[in-house]
Amino acid sequence: MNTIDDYEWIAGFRAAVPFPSQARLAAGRVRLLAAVTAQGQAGHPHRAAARPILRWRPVVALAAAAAIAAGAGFALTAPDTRTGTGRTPGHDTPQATLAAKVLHAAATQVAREPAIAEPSPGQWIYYKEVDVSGANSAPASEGPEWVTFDGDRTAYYQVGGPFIVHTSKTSYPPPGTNPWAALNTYGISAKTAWDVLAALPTEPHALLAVIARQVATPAGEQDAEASVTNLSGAKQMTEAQREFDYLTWILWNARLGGPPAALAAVYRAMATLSGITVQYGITDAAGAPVIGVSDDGGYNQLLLSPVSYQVTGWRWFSDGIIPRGRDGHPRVRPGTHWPPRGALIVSTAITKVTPVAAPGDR
Amino acid sequence: MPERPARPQQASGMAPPDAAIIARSARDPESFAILYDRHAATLHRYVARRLGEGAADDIVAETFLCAFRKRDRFDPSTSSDARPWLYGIAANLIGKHTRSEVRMLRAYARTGADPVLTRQATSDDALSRIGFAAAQRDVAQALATLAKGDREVLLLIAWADLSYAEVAAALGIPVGTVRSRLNRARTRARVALSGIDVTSPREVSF
Repeated sequence: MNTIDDYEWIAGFRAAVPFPSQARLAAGRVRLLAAVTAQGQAGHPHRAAARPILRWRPVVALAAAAAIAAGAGFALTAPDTRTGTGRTPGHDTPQATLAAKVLHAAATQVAREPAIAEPSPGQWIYYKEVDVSGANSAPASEGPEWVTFDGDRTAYYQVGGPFIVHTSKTSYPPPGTNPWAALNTYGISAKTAWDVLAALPTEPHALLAVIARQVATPAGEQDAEASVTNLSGAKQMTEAQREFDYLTWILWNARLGGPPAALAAVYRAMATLSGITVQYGITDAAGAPVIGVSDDGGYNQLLLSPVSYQVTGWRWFSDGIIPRGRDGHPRVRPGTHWPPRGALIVSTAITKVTPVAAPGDR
Repeated sequence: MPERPARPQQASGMAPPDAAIIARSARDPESFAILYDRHAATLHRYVARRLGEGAADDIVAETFLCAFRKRDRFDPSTSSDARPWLYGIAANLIGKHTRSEVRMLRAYARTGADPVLTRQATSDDALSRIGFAAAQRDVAQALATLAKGDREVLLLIAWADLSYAEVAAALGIPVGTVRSRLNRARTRARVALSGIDVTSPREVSF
């Protein structure tokens, strides 16, 4: 008699039960949408409209929180260019001068890239990323995904499950939404980023004036706290940081590309902001050499290729301070181990972004 | 059994994580349907394995309705993945069918006919040929004898593929309790299954 693995027996029990058909699930979806419609007519009873904006920094923070909840330790160390306070000096420092040089070099390089035609809204784009969590020594995880240019449809391999191509449109932002409003509200699709880039002035100060109006809106202020993805929302941000944040968000969503002149303008505008630092000699989650660009002394870094200067990833280090809401309460579960200052929380590398004919193509 | 690492978000890259969808649904309620599209199929299969497809239809629909109504209670600091939250809601609904679940498990153990499986889904001729049908009945008996909470933990890990931390979040219990419940459940299952004579469990392929 062989040794029996009870877990395998249980895991395999009734494994022949199939996934439901779309038709079978449709009834539940209809019930859900009926409830949605009913509540939409009555108004949401619990909460004022939260602004579900996603920015690169809070997204990282959220991923980190998930990793921390798993209760593991942290292994990697923070970049050594960081100042003791987490803030960096202004324009007259060697770091600021270096940052400006790097960003101007980036502007020059991306302006040389041949322009690509704007994809059609339904164009499928293949994204491959590598994520490394500082929470444990687990190998990097890869997340291939297919998203249409307008963000309406997504496809991915469910972990341990089938390849999912969503047949229903996600519809963000709604058709006809002003791109500026879309970025400030939904901030998701590559098309939104493209449209915003195409609408930006190419003179850096004029560009920043436009950005400043966006980040100064009451809605923008609300975003910082109301978004559930913003774990560091209560932290005071300077105007330059808000503008940097906004520009990085545009760049992150323009990973496929954008009008070269507009991308160059964004880098030149970044170069004029105070408090920007860069770090050489680092690698992204996939092991490729990158340049880190940061507005907070290196805790959050946008990663650029040292060759093409295109965005290739991001990474986030703990500043050792548990995020708190404006009410002063920690925004993490009680008892959560928050990593010490300088510990890597997560690093993401973009290893491939390319248009494909159909979801599943690479 | 080592704890599996938390899985990467199903929606990486430019697709928003579940937490962002839930937040967005405060302003754009219809976007909550994205969560349904992402998770309903796997949740349905999980519930169907426990209670059958008919019950799964109702419980999955109820789970998402309940989640939508209580979406402001979703805690993104625990995870951006909504699965633990959804499975937790489903667990409460499944709990109302405990007697039915146990009754069906016992019926399977007694008769060899699983009320949960349709004829199409069983394809158990092959199982019978290699003598696994009896083993399956023992598994059913073992599951039927587990305490409700122990069974919940065991199946969330074995069938829903949640990590210990995710099960803890789903059921609102400490991770230590998850471990102890799982240990207890597996010990009972091991005893119940100790008489199974198999040629090679690896030959089972569903």
